[in-house]
Amino acid sequence: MKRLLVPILVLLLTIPIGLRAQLDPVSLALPAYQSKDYTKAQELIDIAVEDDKFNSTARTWCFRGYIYKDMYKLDRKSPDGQEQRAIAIQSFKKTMEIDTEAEFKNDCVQSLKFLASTLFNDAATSLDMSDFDVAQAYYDEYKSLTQITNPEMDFTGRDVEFSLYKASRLSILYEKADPTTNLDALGVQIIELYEKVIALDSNNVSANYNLAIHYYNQGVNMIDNMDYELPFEELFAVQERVMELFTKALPYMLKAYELDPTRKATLQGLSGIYFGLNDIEKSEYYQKLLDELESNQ
Amino acid sequence: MATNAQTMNTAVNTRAKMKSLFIYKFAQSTEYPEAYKKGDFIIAVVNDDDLANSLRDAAKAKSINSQKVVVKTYTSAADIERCHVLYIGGKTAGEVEPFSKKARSYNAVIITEAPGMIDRLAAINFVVAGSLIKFEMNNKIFKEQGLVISNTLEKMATKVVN
Repeated sequence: MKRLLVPILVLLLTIPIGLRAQLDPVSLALPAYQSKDYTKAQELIDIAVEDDKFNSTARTWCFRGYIYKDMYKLDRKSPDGQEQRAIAIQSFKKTMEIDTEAEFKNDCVQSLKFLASTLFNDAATSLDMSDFDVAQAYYDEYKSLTQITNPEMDFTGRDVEFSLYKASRLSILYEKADPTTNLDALGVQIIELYEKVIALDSNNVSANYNLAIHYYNQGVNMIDNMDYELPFEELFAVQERVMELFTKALPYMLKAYELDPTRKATLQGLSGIYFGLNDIEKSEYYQKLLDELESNQ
Repeated sequence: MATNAQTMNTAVNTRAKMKSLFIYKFAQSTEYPEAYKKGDFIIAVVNDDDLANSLRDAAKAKSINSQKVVVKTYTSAADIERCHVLYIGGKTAGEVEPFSKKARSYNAVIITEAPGMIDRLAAINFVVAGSLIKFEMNNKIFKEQGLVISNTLEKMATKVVN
Protein backbone atom coordinates (compact mmCIF):
# COMPACT_ATOMS: atom_id res chain seq x y z
CA MET A 1 0.00 0.00 0.00
CA LYS A 2 2.85 2.39 0.84
CA ARG A 3 4.23 1.76 -2.59
CA LEU A 4 0.92 2.74 -4.10
CA LEU A 5 0.55 5.85 -2.06
CA VAL A 6 3.70 7.39 -3.46
CA PRO A 7 2.37 7.85 -6.98
CA ILE A 8 -0.94 9.03 -5.56
CA LEU A 9 0.77 11.70 -3.52
CA VAL A 10 2.85 12.69 -6.50
CA LEU A 11 -0.32 12.77 -8.48
CA LEU A 12 -2.02 15.08 -6.00
CA LEU A 13 0.97 17.33 -5.64
CA THR A 14 0.79 18.03 -9.33
CA ILE A 15 -2.66 19.59 -8.84
CA PRO A 16 -2.31 23.36 -8.92
CA ILE A 17 -2.46 24.97 -5.49
CA GLY A 18 -5.37 27.13 -6.57
CA LEU A 19 -7.45 24.13 -7.38
CA ARG A 20 -6.57 22.35 -4.18
CA ALA A 21 -7.58 25.47 -2.28
CA GLN A 22 -11.05 25.12 -3.68
CA LEU A 23 -11.23 21.68 -2.01
CA ASP A 24 -11.98 19.95 -5.22
CA PRO A 25 -13.33 16.38 -5.08
CA VAL A 26 -10.00 14.89 -6.18
CA SER A 27 -8.17 16.64 -3.33
CA LEU A 28 -10.85 15.64 -0.89
CA ALA A 29 -10.70 12.05 -2.04
CA LEU A 30 -7.03 11.76 -1.09
CA PRO A 31 -7.36 11.86 2.72
CA ALA A 32 -10.33 9.50 2.46
CA TYR A 33 -8.23 7.11 0.39
CA GLN A 34 -5.28 7.43 2.77
CA SER A 35 -7.49 6.59 5.72
CA LYS A 36 -8.93 3.66 3.76
CA ASP A 37 -12.37 5.22 3.66
CA TYR A 38 -12.79 3.89 0.15
CA THR A 39 -16.51 4.51 0.02
CA LYS A 40 -16.00 8.23 0.56
CA ALA A 41 -12.99 8.30 -1.78
CA GLN A 42 -15.08 6.55 -4.42
CA GLU A 43 -17.98 9.01 -4.09
CA LEU A 44 -15.64 11.97 -4.45
CA ILE A 45 -13.68 10.57 -7.38
CA ASP A 46 -16.90 9.68 -9.18
CA ILE A 47 -18.03 13.27 -8.76
CA ALA A 48 -14.68 14.38 -10.19
CA VAL A 49 -14.98 12.26 -13.32
CA GLU A 50 -18.39 13.76 -14.01
CA ASP A 51 -16.94 17.26 -13.75
CA ASP A 52 -15.37 18.69 -16.88
CA LYS A 53 -12.87 20.59 -14.72
CA PHE A 54 -11.28 17.29 -13.65
CA ASN A 55 -12.23 14.57 -16.07
CA SER A 56 -9.86 15.69 -18.77
CA THR A 57 -6.82 15.13 -16.60
CA ALA A 58 -5.03 11.80 -16.50
CA ARG A 59 -4.34 12.11 -12.80
CA THR A 60 -8.06 12.06 -11.95
CA TRP A 61 -8.57 8.83 -13.88
CA CYS A 62 -5.42 7.26 -12.52
CA PHE A 63 -6.46 8.08 -8.94
CA ARG A 64 -9.87 6.62 -9.66
CA GLY A 65 -8.18 3.48 -10.91
CA TYR A 66 -6.25 3.13 -7.66
CA ILE A 67 -9.32 3.68 -5.50
CA TYR A 68 -11.37 1.10 -7.37
CA LYS A 69 -8.48 -1.34 -7.55
CA ASP A 70 -8.04 -1.22 -3.77
CA MET A 71 -11.77 -1.62 -3.26
CA TYR A 72 -11.68 -4.65 -5.51
CA LYS A 73 -8.78 -6.13 -3.53
CA LEU A 74 -10.89 -5.98 -0.37
CA ASP A 75 -13.75 -7.94 -1.86
CA ARG A 76 -12.60 -9.81 -4.92
CA LYS A 77 -15.24 -12.48 -5.09
CA SER A 78 -18.40 -10.42 -4.74
CA PRO A 79 -20.31 -8.96 -7.70
CA ASP A 80 -19.37 -5.51 -6.33
CA GLY A 81 -15.72 -6.51 -6.39
CA GLN A 82 -16.02 -7.62 -10.01
CA GLU A 83 -17.62 -4.32 -10.94
CA GLN A 84 -14.94 -2.40 -9.06
CA ARG A 85 -12.25 -4.23 -10.99
CA ALA A 86 -14.00 -3.39 -14.24
CA ILE A 87 -14.13 0.29 -13.27
CA ALA A 88 -10.48 0.22 -12.19
CA ILE A 89 -9.50 -1.26 -15.56
CA GLN A 90 -11.58 1.25 -17.42
CA SER A 91 -10.06 4.10 -15.39
CA PHE A 92 -6.47 3.00 -16.01
CA LYS A 93 -7.21 2.56 -19.69
CA LYS A 94 -8.71 6.05 -19.81
CA THR A 95 -5.65 7.40 -18.03
CA MET A 96 -3.32 5.92 -20.64
CA GLU A 97 -5.55 7.26 -23.38
CA ILE A 98 -5.38 10.88 -22.24
CA ASP A 99 -1.95 10.82 -20.58
CA THR A 100 -0.13 12.24 -23.58
CA GLU A 101 3.01 12.87 -21.53
CA ALA A 102 3.05 9.24 -20.34
CA GLU A 103 3.34 10.62 -16.80
CA PHE A 104 1.27 7.78 -15.31
CA LYS A 105 2.04 5.10 -17.85
CA ASN A 106 4.21 2.98 -15.59
CA ASP A 107 1.69 3.09 -12.73
CA CYS A 108 -1.12 2.16 -15.09
CA VAL A 109 0.84 -0.68 -16.69
CA GLN A 110 1.73 -2.17 -13.32
CA SER A 111 -1.84 -1.90 -12.08
CA LEU A 112 -3.28 -3.31 -15.29
CA LYS A 113 -0.79 -6.18 -15.14
CA PHE A 114 -1.99 -7.00 -11.66
CA LEU A 115 -5.64 -6.78 -12.72
CA ALA A 116 -4.94 -8.91 -15.80
CA SER A 117 -3.41 -11.59 -13.57
CA THR A 118 -6.57 -11.60 -11.46
CA LEU A 119 -8.63 -12.07 -14.63
CA PHE A 120 -6.51 -15.06 -15.62
CA ASN A 121 -6.91 -16.55 -12.16
CA ASP A 122 -10.65 -15.97 -12.30
CA ALA A 123 -10.75 -17.70 -15.68
CA ALA A 124 -9.14 -20.75 -14.06
CA THR A 125 -11.50 -20.64 -11.07
CA SER A 126 -14.50 -20.38 -13.38
CA LEU A 127 -13.32 -23.44 -15.27
CA ASP A 128 -13.06 -25.28 -11.96
CA MET A 129 -16.68 -24.33 -11.34
CA SER A 130 -17.68 -25.35 -14.88
CA ASP A 131 -18.69 -21.76 -15.73
CA PHE A 132 -17.24 -22.08 -19.19
CA ASP A 133 -18.70 -18.97 -20.81
CA VAL A 134 -17.65 -16.85 -17.84
CA ALA A 135 -14.18 -18.38 -17.96
CA GLN A 136 -13.87 -17.61 -21.65
CA ALA A 137 -14.97 -14.02 -21.05
CA TYR A 138 -12.36 -13.59 -18.29
CA TYR A 139 -9.68 -15.12 -20.45
CA ASP A 140 -10.53 -12.92 -23.42
CA GLU A 141 -10.42 -9.87 -21.18
CA TYR A 142 -7.10 -10.99 -19.71
CA LYS A 143 -5.67 -11.19 -23.21
CA SER A 144 -7.11 -7.88 -24.28
CA LEU A 145 -5.66 -6.18 -21.20
CA THR A 146 -2.29 -7.86 -21.52
CA GLN A 147 -2.06 -6.69 -25.10
CA ILE A 148 -2.18 -3.13 -23.71
CA THR A 149 0.46 -3.67 -21.04
CA ASN A 150 2.67 -5.87 -23.19
CA PRO A 151 1.98 -5.49 -26.91
CA GLU A 152 4.76 -7.95 -27.74
CA MET A 153 3.30 -10.70 -25.57
CA ASP A 154 3.12 -14.13 -27.24
CA PHE A 155 -0.06 -15.78 -26.01
CA THR A 156 0.68 -19.23 -27.40
CA GLY A 157 1.62 -20.72 -24.05
CA ARG A 158 -1.37 -19.16 -22.30
CA ASP A 159 -3.75 -20.23 -25.08
CA VAL A 160 -2.45 -23.77 -24.81
CA GLU A 161 -2.79 -23.74 -21.03
CA PHE A 162 -6.29 -22.29 -21.06
CA SER A 163 -7.67 -24.40 -23.93
CA LEU A 164 -6.19 -27.59 -22.53
CA TYR A 165 -7.62 -26.98 -19.10
CA LYS A 166 -10.99 -25.97 -20.52
CA ALA A 167 -11.09 -29.11 -22.67
CA SER A 168 -10.17 -31.32 -19.73
CA ARG A 169 -12.88 -29.75 -17.58
CA LEU A 170 -15.45 -30.16 -20.37
CA SER A 171 -14.33 -33.76 -20.74
CA ILE A 172 -15.16 -34.43 -17.11
CA LEU A 173 -18.70 -33.16 -17.73
CA TYR A 174 -18.88 -35.27 -20.85
CA GLU A 175 -17.82 -38.43 -19.07
CA LYS A 176 -20.17 -37.86 -16.15
CA ALA A 177 -23.20 -36.95 -18.26
CA ASP A 178 -26.24 -39.14 -18.51
CA PRO A 179 -25.54 -41.32 -21.57
CA THR A 180 -29.05 -40.74 -22.85
CA THR A 181 -28.33 -37.02 -23.21
CA ASN A 182 -27.29 -35.71 -26.59
CA LEU A 183 -23.65 -34.82 -26.07
CA ASP A 184 -22.74 -34.19 -29.70
CA ALA A 185 -22.21 -30.44 -29.33
CA LEU A 186 -20.14 -30.89 -26.18
CA GLY A 187 -18.07 -33.60 -27.86
CA VAL A 188 -17.37 -31.35 -30.84
CA GLN A 189 -16.35 -28.51 -28.53
CA ILE A 190 -13.89 -30.78 -26.70
CA ILE A 191 -12.35 -32.04 -29.94
CA GLU A 192 -12.00 -28.50 -31.30
CA LEU A 193 -10.22 -27.38 -28.15
CA TYR A 194 -7.74 -30.26 -28.18
CA GLU A 195 -7.16 -29.76 -31.90
CA LYS A 196 -6.53 -26.08 -31.25
CA VAL A 197 -3.92 -26.96 -28.63
CA ILE A 198 -2.26 -29.46 -30.97
CA ALA A 199 -2.23 -26.86 -33.76
CA LEU A 200 -0.43 -24.48 -31.40
CA ASP A 201 1.82 -27.12 -29.87
CA SER A 202 1.91 -30.39 -31.77
CA ASN A 203 4.22 -31.90 -29.14
CA ASN A 204 1.81 -31.40 -26.30
CA VAL A 205 1.57 -34.84 -24.69
CA SER A 206 -1.55 -34.07 -22.65
CA ALA A 207 -3.54 -32.78 -25.63
CA ASN A 208 -2.56 -35.74 -27.81
CA TYR A 209 -3.30 -38.25 -25.05
CA ASN A 210 -6.56 -36.63 -23.97
CA LEU A 211 -7.88 -36.30 -27.51
CA ALA A 212 -7.08 -39.96 -28.16
CA ILE A 213 -8.87 -40.97 -24.97
CA HIS A 214 -11.83 -38.77 -25.87
CA TYR A 215 -12.26 -40.54 -29.22
CA TYR A 216 -11.62 -43.94 -27.65
CA ASN A 217 -14.11 -43.45 -24.83
CA GLN A 218 -16.72 -42.23 -27.31
CA GLY A 219 -16.33 -45.52 -29.16
CA VAL A 220 -16.43 -47.58 -25.98
CA ASN A 221 -19.54 -45.76 -24.77
CA MET A 222 -21.19 -46.35 -28.13
CA ILE A 223 -20.55 -50.09 -27.88
CA ASP A 224 -21.56 -50.16 -24.24
CA ASN A 225 -24.90 -48.56 -25.07
CA MET A 226 -25.68 -50.84 -28.01
CA ASP A 227 -28.98 -52.56 -27.54
CA TYR A 228 -29.40 -56.29 -27.93
CA GLU A 229 -32.52 -55.70 -30.02
CA LEU A 230 -30.60 -53.86 -32.75
CA PRO A 231 -31.15 -55.36 -36.19
CA PHE A 232 -28.16 -57.04 -37.78
CA GLU A 233 -27.59 -54.25 -40.30
CA GLU A 234 -27.49 -51.68 -37.51
CA LEU A 235 -25.07 -53.83 -35.54
CA PHE A 236 -22.58 -53.57 -38.38
CA ALA A 237 -23.27 -49.88 -38.95
CA VAL A 238 -22.63 -48.98 -35.30
CA GLN A 239 -19.55 -51.16 -35.24
CA GLU A 240 -18.21 -49.23 -38.24
CA ARG A 241 -18.81 -45.91 -36.47
CA VAL A 242 -17.01 -47.24 -33.39
CA MET A 243 -14.03 -48.33 -35.49
CA GLU A 244 -13.89 -44.86 -37.04
CA LEU A 245 -13.59 -43.40 -33.55
CA PHE A 246 -10.86 -45.87 -32.53
CA THR A 247 -9.08 -45.14 -35.80
CA LYS A 248 -9.23 -41.42 -35.06
CA ALA A 249 -7.84 -42.03 -31.57
CA LEU A 250 -4.84 -44.01 -32.75
CA PRO A 251 -2.56 -41.34 -34.31
CA TYR A 252 -2.94 -39.07 -31.28
CA MET A 253 -2.08 -41.90 -28.88
CA LEU A 254 0.87 -42.91 -31.05
CA LYS A 255 2.06 -39.30 -30.97
CA ALA A 256 1.72 -39.21 -27.18
CA TYR A 257 3.75 -42.43 -27.08
CA GLU A 258 6.42 -40.97 -29.37
CA LEU A 259 6.69 -37.95 -27.07
CA ASP A 260 6.85 -40.00 -23.88
CA PRO A 261 7.37 -43.75 -24.41
CA THR A 262 7.51 -44.51 -20.70
CA ARG A 263 4.14 -43.07 -19.76
CA LYS A 264 2.06 -45.96 -18.45
CA ALA A 265 -1.28 -44.42 -19.35
CA THR A 266 -0.20 -44.09 -22.98
CA LEU A 267 0.88 -47.71 -23.18
CA GLN A 268 -2.42 -48.75 -21.67
CA GLY A 269 -4.17 -46.47 -24.15
CA LEU A 270 -2.40 -47.98 -27.15
CA SER A 271 -3.12 -51.49 -25.94
CA GLY A 272 -6.79 -50.56 -25.50
CA ILE A 273 -7.14 -48.86 -28.85
CA TYR A 274 -5.54 -51.73 -30.77
CA PHE A 275 -7.72 -54.16 -28.82
CA GLY A 276 -10.76 -52.13 -29.84
CA LEU A 277 -9.53 -52.25 -33.43
CA ASN A 278 -9.31 -56.02 -33.08
CA ASP A 279 -5.57 -55.97 -33.66
CA ILE A 280 -4.73 -58.31 -30.82
CA GLU A 281 -1.07 -58.71 -31.74
CA LYS A 282 -0.35 -55.00 -31.38
CA SER A 283 -2.57 -54.74 -28.33
CA GLU A 284 -0.54 -57.46 -26.64
CA TYR A 285 2.72 -55.80 -27.72
CA TYR A 286 1.89 -52.56 -25.90
CA GLN A 287 0.47 -54.46 -22.94
CA LYS A 288 3.79 -56.30 -22.73
CA LEU A 289 5.69 -53.00 -22.75
CA LEU A 290 3.44 -51.77 -19.96
CA ASP A 291 3.97 -54.94 -17.94
CA GLU A 292 7.73 -54.64 -18.38
CA LEU A 293 7.66 -51.02 -17.34
CA GLU A 294 5.67 -51.84 -14.23
CA SER A 295 7.87 -54.78 -13.29
CA ASN A 296 10.98 -52.60 -13.57
CA GLN A 297 9.65 -50.08 -11.07
CA MET B 1 -4.00 -24.47 -14.51
CA ALA B 2 -3.27 -28.13 -13.97
CA THR B 3 -4.74 -30.18 -16.81
CA ASN B 4 -6.48 -33.39 -15.87
CA ALA B 5 -5.53 -36.48 -17.82
CA GLN B 6 -8.71 -37.99 -19.20
CA THR B 7 -9.59 -41.32 -17.73
CA MET B 8 -9.67 -44.21 -20.13
CA ASN B 9 -12.80 -46.29 -19.98
CA THR B 10 -11.45 -49.72 -19.09
CA ALA B 11 -14.72 -51.03 -17.69
CA VAL B 12 -15.95 -52.36 -21.00
CA ASN B 13 -14.33 -55.16 -22.96
CA THR B 14 -15.34 -53.94 -26.40
CA ARG B 15 -14.67 -57.21 -28.19
CA ALA B 16 -16.62 -59.19 -25.61
CA LYS B 17 -19.57 -56.80 -25.87
CA MET B 18 -19.58 -56.95 -29.68
CA LYS B 19 -19.38 -60.74 -29.67
CA SER B 20 -22.17 -61.00 -27.11
CA LEU B 21 -24.36 -58.78 -29.30
CA PHE B 22 -23.67 -61.06 -32.24
CA ILE B 23 -24.35 -64.20 -30.22
CA TYR B 24 -27.73 -62.81 -29.21
CA LYS B 25 -28.49 -62.12 -32.86
CA PHE B 26 -27.41 -65.62 -33.88
CA ALA B 27 -29.62 -67.12 -31.20
CA GLN B 28 -32.56 -64.94 -32.17
CA SER B 29 -32.11 -65.96 -35.81
CA THR B 30 -32.12 -69.68 -35.08
CA GLU B 31 -35.12 -71.97 -35.04
CA TYR B 32 -34.56 -74.70 -32.43
CA PRO B 33 -36.31 -78.06 -32.11
CA GLU B 34 -39.45 -77.97 -29.95
CA ALA B 35 -37.69 -79.51 -26.96
CA TYR B 36 -35.32 -76.59 -26.88
CA LYS B 37 -38.07 -73.99 -26.84
CA LYS B 38 -38.92 -74.69 -23.20
CA GLY B 39 -37.01 -73.86 -20.06
CA ASP B 40 -33.92 -71.73 -19.85
CA PHE B 41 -31.94 -70.68 -22.88
CA ILE B 42 -28.44 -71.93 -22.10
CA ILE B 43 -25.36 -70.21 -23.49
CA ALA B 44 -22.19 -72.11 -22.69
CA VAL B 45 -18.85 -70.34 -22.87
CA VAL B 46 -15.40 -71.90 -22.97
CA ASN B 47 -12.20 -69.95 -22.46
CA ASP B 48 -13.56 -66.38 -22.50
CA ASP B 49 -14.62 -65.04 -19.11
CA ASP B 50 -15.14 -61.48 -20.36
CA LEU B 51 -17.58 -62.75 -22.97
CA ALA B 52 -19.39 -64.81 -20.35
CA ASN B 53 -19.68 -61.76 -18.10
CA SER B 54 -20.94 -59.60 -20.94
CA LEU B 55 -23.55 -62.23 -21.79
CA ARG B 56 -24.57 -62.43 -18.13
CA ASP B 57 -25.05 -58.65 -18.03
CA ALA B 58 -27.28 -58.89 -21.06
CA ALA B 59 -29.16 -61.84 -19.61
CA LYS B 60 -30.29 -59.71 -16.67
CA ALA B 61 -32.52 -57.71 -18.99
CA LYS B 62 -32.91 -59.67 -22.19
CA SER B 63 -34.46 -63.00 -22.90
CA ILE B 64 -34.00 -64.99 -26.11
CA ASN B 65 -37.07 -66.32 -27.87
CA SER B 66 -38.99 -65.57 -24.62
CA GLN B 67 -36.72 -67.90 -22.67
CA LYS B 68 -34.69 -66.79 -19.69
CA VAL B 69 -31.00 -66.72 -20.58
CA VAL B 70 -28.54 -68.61 -18.38
CA VAL B 71 -24.83 -68.36 -19.06
CA LYS B 72 -22.55 -71.22 -18.04
CA THR B 73 -18.79 -71.48 -18.31
CA TYR B 74 -16.81 -74.67 -18.81
CA THR B 75 -13.19 -75.67 -18.74
CA SER B 76 -13.62 -79.33 -19.57
CA ALA B 77 -15.39 -80.75 -22.63
CA ALA B 78 -16.67 -83.66 -20.58
CA ASP B 79 -18.64 -81.28 -18.39
CA ILE B 80 -20.56 -79.68 -21.25
CA GLU B 81 -24.29 -80.15 -20.79
CA ARG B 82 -27.23 -79.53 -23.04
CA CYS B 83 -27.08 -75.98 -24.31
CA HIS B 84 -28.48 -73.76 -27.06
CA VAL B 85 -25.25 -72.00 -27.90
CA LEU B 86 -21.66 -73.03 -27.25
CA TYR B 87 -18.92 -70.48 -27.72
CA ILE B 88 -15.43 -71.99 -27.75
CA GLY B 89 -12.49 -69.64 -27.33
CA GLY B 90 -9.29 -71.16 -28.64
CA LYS B 91 -6.75 -70.66 -31.38
CA THR B 92 -6.18 -74.22 -32.53
CA ALA B 93 -8.28 -77.16 -33.63
CA GLY B 94 -6.75 -79.13 -30.78
CA GLU B 95 -8.20 -76.71 -28.25
CA VAL B 96 -11.58 -76.43 -29.91
CA GLU B 97 -12.32 -79.91 -31.16
CA PRO B 98 -13.11 -81.73 -27.88
CA PHE B 99 -15.71 -79.10 -26.96
CA SER B 100 -17.12 -78.99 -30.47
CA LYS B 101 -17.47 -82.77 -30.58
CA LYS B 102 -19.28 -82.83 -27.27
CA ALA B 103 -21.69 -80.13 -28.40
CA ARG B 104 -22.53 -82.14 -31.49
CA SER B 105 -24.65 -84.33 -29.24
CA TYR B 106 -26.94 -81.35 -28.56
CA ASN B 107 -28.87 -79.03 -30.84
CA ALA B 108 -26.44 -76.23 -30.15
CA VAL B 109 -25.06 -73.43 -32.30
CA ILE B 110 -21.31 -73.98 -32.08
CA ILE B 111 -19.38 -70.73 -32.32
CA THR B 112 -15.60 -70.35 -32.54
CA GLU B 113 -13.08 -67.65 -33.27
CA ALA B 114 -10.04 -69.03 -35.04
CA PRO B 115 -8.92 -69.55 -38.64
CA GLY B 116 -10.07 -72.75 -40.30
CA MET B 117 -12.70 -73.69 -37.70
CA ILE B 118 -15.62 -73.00 -40.00
CA ASP B 119 -14.72 -75.86 -42.30
CA ARG B 120 -15.50 -78.65 -39.85
CA LEU B 121 -15.79 -77.59 -36.21
CA ALA B 122 -18.16 -74.64 -36.02
CA ALA B 123 -21.49 -73.46 -37.34
CA ILE B 124 -20.32 -69.89 -36.93
CA ASN B 125 -16.79 -68.54 -36.72
CA PHE B 126 -15.91 -64.96 -35.80
CA VAL B 127 -13.39 -63.29 -38.07
CA VAL B 128 -11.86 -59.83 -38.17
CA ALA B 129 -12.22 -58.07 -41.50
CA GLY B 130 -10.81 -54.56 -41.77
CA SER B 131 -10.98 -54.07 -37.99
CA LEU B 132 -14.60 -55.19 -37.90
CA ILE B 133 -15.83 -58.31 -36.18
CA LYS B 134 -17.71 -60.32 -38.77
CA PHE B 135 -18.55 -63.97 -39.08
CA GLU B 136 -18.53 -66.93 -41.42
CA MET B 137 -21.04 -69.76 -41.25
CA ASN B 138 -21.35 -73.42 -42.05
CA ASN B 139 -24.83 -74.39 -43.23
CA LYS B 140 -23.95 -78.06 -43.19
CA ILE B 141 -23.20 -78.00 -39.47
CA PHE B 142 -26.38 -76.03 -38.78
CA LYS B 143 -28.37 -78.75 -40.54
CA GLU B 144 -26.50 -81.55 -38.78
CA GLN B 145 -27.32 -79.83 -35.49
CA GLY B 146 -31.01 -79.83 -36.38
CA LEU B 147 -31.14 -76.04 -36.50
CA VAL B 148 -32.87 -73.80 -39.01
CA ILE B 149 -31.23 -70.46 -39.59
CA SER B 150 -32.78 -67.30 -41.01
CA ASN B 151 -31.72 -66.05 -44.44
CA THR B 152 -30.55 -62.80 -42.92
CA LEU B 153 -27.66 -64.52 -41.22
CA GLU B 154 -26.42 -65.99 -44.46
CA LYS B 155 -26.56 -62.60 -46.16
CA MET B 156 -24.43 -61.06 -43.44
CA ALA B 157 -21.78 -63.79 -43.38
CA THR B 158 -18.42 -63.15 -45.03
CA LYS B 159 -18.20 -66.80 -46.06
CA VAL B 160 -20.78 -69.57 -46.20
CA VAL B 161 -19.82 -73.24 -46.21
CA ASN B 162 -22.50 -75.53 -47.57
